[in-house]
Amino acid sequence: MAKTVMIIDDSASIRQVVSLTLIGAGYDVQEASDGKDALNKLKGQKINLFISDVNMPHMDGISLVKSLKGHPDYKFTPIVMLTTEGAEAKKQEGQAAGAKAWIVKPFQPAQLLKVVSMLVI
Amino acid sequence: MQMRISVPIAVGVAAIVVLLAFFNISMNGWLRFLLGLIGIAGVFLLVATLRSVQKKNLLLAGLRLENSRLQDELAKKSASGVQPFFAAVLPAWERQLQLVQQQSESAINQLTGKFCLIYDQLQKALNAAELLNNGSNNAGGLGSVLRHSEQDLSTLVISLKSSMDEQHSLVAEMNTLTTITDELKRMGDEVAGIASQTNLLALNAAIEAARAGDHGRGFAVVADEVRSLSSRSGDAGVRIGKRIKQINELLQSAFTTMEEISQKGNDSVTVSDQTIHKVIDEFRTVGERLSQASDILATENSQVSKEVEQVLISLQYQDRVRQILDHVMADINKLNVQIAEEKFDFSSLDATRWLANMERTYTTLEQVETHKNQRTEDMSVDDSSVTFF
Repeated sequence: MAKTVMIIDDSASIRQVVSLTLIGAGYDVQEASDGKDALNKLKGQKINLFISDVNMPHMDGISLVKSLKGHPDYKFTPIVMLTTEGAEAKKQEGQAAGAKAWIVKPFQPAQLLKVVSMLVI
Repeated sequence: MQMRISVPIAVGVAAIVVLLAFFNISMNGWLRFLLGLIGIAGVFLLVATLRSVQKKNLLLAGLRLENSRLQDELAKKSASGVQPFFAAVLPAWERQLQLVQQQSESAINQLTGKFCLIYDQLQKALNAAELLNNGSNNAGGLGSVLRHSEQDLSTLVISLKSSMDEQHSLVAEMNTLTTITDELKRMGDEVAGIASQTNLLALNAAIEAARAGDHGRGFAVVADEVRSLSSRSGDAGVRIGKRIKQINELLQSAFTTMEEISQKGNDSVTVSDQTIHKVIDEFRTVGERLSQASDILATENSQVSKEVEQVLISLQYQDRVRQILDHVMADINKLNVQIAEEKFDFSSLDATRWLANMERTYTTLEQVETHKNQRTEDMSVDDSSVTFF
């Protein structure tokens, strides 16, 4: 059965490129436009990996990571941050919240797939 | 001012000189008087200079006061003039930037969607080409189908050949049958000869029986019967000979027909074999051409696919542009809100503090570099942009 990855980004074009990359590699993909949208769409379904942007309206990526880590269904699901943020302080914030990896945009599809295949559960 | 002082002094000195000349004062007294006069004049001069300096200072202080008042007035006037200007212009800038952001976002989203579609279709085409090429070695591939067809058709030809071989052995057996019928014919002839000789012997026996008279009468009857039997044997021998001849002719005709059939069968097997090989070879040639074309297509598709992938990576710039524009618009909005306050004092604006705040709120490293007026590196993608925790 295909693994499911959820991509959370307010940029539609980034969501499209991530979806294309992952679907092409055999993953199922769920899309959400921000942290709040992601939490609304989860509804207890099995997610094998989250890929989230950091700066988003309504609920930013770091807050989403904190929410997921406090959620009984998703506290062990790995989270990869995919963001334009490259500052070390922000990365540390992500790490402290519980993210497993930090990718600075723009990303290479092959590179994203490598990270996903390494972390997906 | 100097003129005003020097004229009374000159008039005073001249009046004293006339007075002294008139009263005939001695040289010594004159000199003392002159020194006294110079002293008095010096005192006058000093007093006059001090008064002049005091007046100048007063005037300068007045001017300074006036200047300061005028400057204050000017600042107030300019601030009250600048505020409506910025209040009108800043939202216009913000709206234009919003328009840029919306238009570029919409266009890039559409472009990304189209390129994603192209990429997806290319991948499908690549998979199909791969199936065709790799399939040559796997079940279901063109090469595999050709190989199987060739094997099946070869089996068919072998089966036909085997059938022809059986036909050959049948013809050979028929040939043997002809030999046998020849022998039968000779046997028939032999039977006819024996019958003829038996007839002759019976005739002699009858003659000898007649010569014996009454004693030979019984023997004469036997001799007649023997002659009758020999005649019948001779007839039977002749009929056998005729039948055998007929059989032999029929066999010969069948043999000829079989040989013709066999020859035609042989020819047909040879033609079939050649045709099958020719067709398979033609299929193979077409298959190889197809495979080559498919290889070229696959290579081209792969190249285009890589290019599209690069385009999709480049289109991610939109996300960065959006964030940078967001930041600029937020900053313009912040300024707009501040100057909209009724008692806003422009002198309270501190560029250093403002810029420091801007720098603190940047989200990308390139924004920070651009802020510092440093050269922004090309945002190339490498493994260093991934950090594992």
